[in-house]
Amino acid sequence: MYLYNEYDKQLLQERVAQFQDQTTRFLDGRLSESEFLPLRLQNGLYIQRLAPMLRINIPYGMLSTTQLRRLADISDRFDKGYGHISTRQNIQLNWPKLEDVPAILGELAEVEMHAIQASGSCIRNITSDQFAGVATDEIEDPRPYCELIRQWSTFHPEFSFLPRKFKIAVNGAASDRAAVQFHDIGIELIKHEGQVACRIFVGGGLGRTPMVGEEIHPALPPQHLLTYLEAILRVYNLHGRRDNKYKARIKILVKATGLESFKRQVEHEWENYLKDGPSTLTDEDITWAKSFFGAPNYETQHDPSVVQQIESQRAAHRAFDLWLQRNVKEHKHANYAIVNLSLKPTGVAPGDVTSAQMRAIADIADKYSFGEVRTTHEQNMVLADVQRSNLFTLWQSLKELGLATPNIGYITDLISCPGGDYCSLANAKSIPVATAIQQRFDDIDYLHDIGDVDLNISGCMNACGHHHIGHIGILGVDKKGEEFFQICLGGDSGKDAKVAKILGPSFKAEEIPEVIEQILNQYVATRIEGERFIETVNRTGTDPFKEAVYGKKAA
Amino acid sequence: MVKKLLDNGAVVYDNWIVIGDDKELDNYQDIPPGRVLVSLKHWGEFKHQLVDRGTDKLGLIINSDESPRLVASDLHYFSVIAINFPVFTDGRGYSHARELREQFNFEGEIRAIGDVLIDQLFAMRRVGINSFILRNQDDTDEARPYLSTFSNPYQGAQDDPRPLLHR
Repeated sequence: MYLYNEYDKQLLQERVAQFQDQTTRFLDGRLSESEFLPLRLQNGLYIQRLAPMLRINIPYGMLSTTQLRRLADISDRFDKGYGHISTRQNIQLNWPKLEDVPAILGELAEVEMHAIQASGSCIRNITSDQFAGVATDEIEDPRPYCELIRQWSTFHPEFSFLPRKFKIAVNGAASDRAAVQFHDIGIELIKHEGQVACRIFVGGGLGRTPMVGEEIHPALPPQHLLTYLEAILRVYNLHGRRDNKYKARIKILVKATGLESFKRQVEHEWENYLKDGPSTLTDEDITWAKSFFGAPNYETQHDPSVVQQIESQRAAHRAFDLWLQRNVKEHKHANYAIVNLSLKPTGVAPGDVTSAQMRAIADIADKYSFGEVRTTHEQNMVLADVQRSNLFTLWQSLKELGLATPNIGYITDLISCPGGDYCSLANAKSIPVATAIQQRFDDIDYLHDIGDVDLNISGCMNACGHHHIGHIGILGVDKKGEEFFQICLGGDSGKDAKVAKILGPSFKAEEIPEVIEQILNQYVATRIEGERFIETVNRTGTDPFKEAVYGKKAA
Repeated sequence: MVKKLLDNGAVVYDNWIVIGDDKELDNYQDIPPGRVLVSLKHWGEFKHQLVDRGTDKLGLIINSDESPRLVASDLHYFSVIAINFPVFTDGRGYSHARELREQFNFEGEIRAIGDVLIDQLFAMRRVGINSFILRNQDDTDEARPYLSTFSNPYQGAQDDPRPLLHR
């Protein structure tokens, strides 16, 4: 994990002082509401329906147990004893007091955490693959690149006020677990002629106008990464629309300009002014960044009795077996496993984690996973390095904490925004719909039979629940003051990136579980042996599903 | 008199007259004598007369929707380029400042005018802006510390092109 040096620490202290001063001037009336607004947003602070919300960055999802314990303490002291893992791997506090925020930032700075650029029209937290460094299909660990981009983008003076927010994700494996094609800039690390290279996508995004990013560079050598990003950002800063916030994202600029013409502008800027300049990364820079993300001290001695031991534990405990099948993933080291902690038990807002759970997870991670924890964009947590011989004991502890629901990747592992219960933008309350779906599909054998389904719920068209890229997406809409929900089908956040299609007219909240069941029944009736839900949707198209939901006439 | 803050922290009174787009000019005589900052539009109209004043009495205003590229070949006529921030959240001026310094090698004064607030001074200084007319003139005397909010920023910019990694 990246460790702060004296410069990083000093920067955070200066940031705390800066925000303390800004907050004081606001509370004294020396800074107007409209002047304070962008400043507090660039510090992750929203004013929500009921209270402020503070978004705290978790760079590319990596947390130490010290940090997690501090988050638990902060949520107890300044909030209501829980936090919410967001779809961009961050953690949000829903109830802090504005006047406490500088103190919270001070507490965070002590453990090398912050809320810098967690919101606002600037470059946001860099997100990545939650299995980085341990995945079996990894080509290159994305975290060193994420960290270099984090540093480059932190308080970048030229990009202080972009037309709109700007999100960057990096993935370095055969499967895309970071949804790079749905980011303003997506970076896929690949091998090109035997060397690591960056395949760069631009102009992807969700929100009101979902778009799949387009490839702007097929294989950029990593030493040019920051200068190339700077060129893209400059073209966007100068030419992105500022007259209409709904048309201000880079995806609209890329579409309007055309990829080829946009690319020419970027390359002009880059070739003439930035390429090979002082921000070009040296081999030493990359080696330095990589030095923070080396493998921990793994037990390399292979004990063949462990396999047998696990097999007999599985045979004796069906719940352990189910958990192993769903929540435990293969690790690149044979003695280890990746363990997913489900934050989606029925009845809990997806992604919510209590302070008691945070502390317990920290203790468990210290004991079983080298003192590190990760957050995922699916709003779960991960212990990345668990020795296989410890799986059964770990499962028992997690079960007691309510963190072993064996539903990773199932329909009940759904992604949801906070919705109208918290957010002032939302048209509809997404959490009750999430709960109703979890309650409807609580039979583990049924879930097992249905298999992998990404279900995403957004409470409004701003799409924080990423409904466009769910295999099944649910969107809250407002119809004459009443909450309705639209269903869309066929989205995909992986390498076959696709935006879901709207199925038909919207439904009332209470109808949603029934509609989802009709969709799943249609899948069961038409699937070919071994076919996943999304594969059936892709093969048959959405018409049969439309017919299943709305009757013959509709299709 | 308008107060101007310099990037070394000094405060001086400004004696430039601003002739922006909002000023209707029927003919050249409408422009007062002395040091003037003229908009791109007025420059286009009265360039031939204006150049007679000499560089040290001539400055240009660039609005956020105007590119310095439009006047790249004229920059040697000016001792000051004023970048106008219509609202402080319009960040195009930051790129314009870097273009002026790094692409057109403009070495004169680049000043920020318009909606210039103390919380943006640090970033403005880093992109090559070296004088500031604050919208809230009362803030000018206390503005100095805001030029150096952070001691060691990560990335290279116009003030120091080297990223922290290479310093």
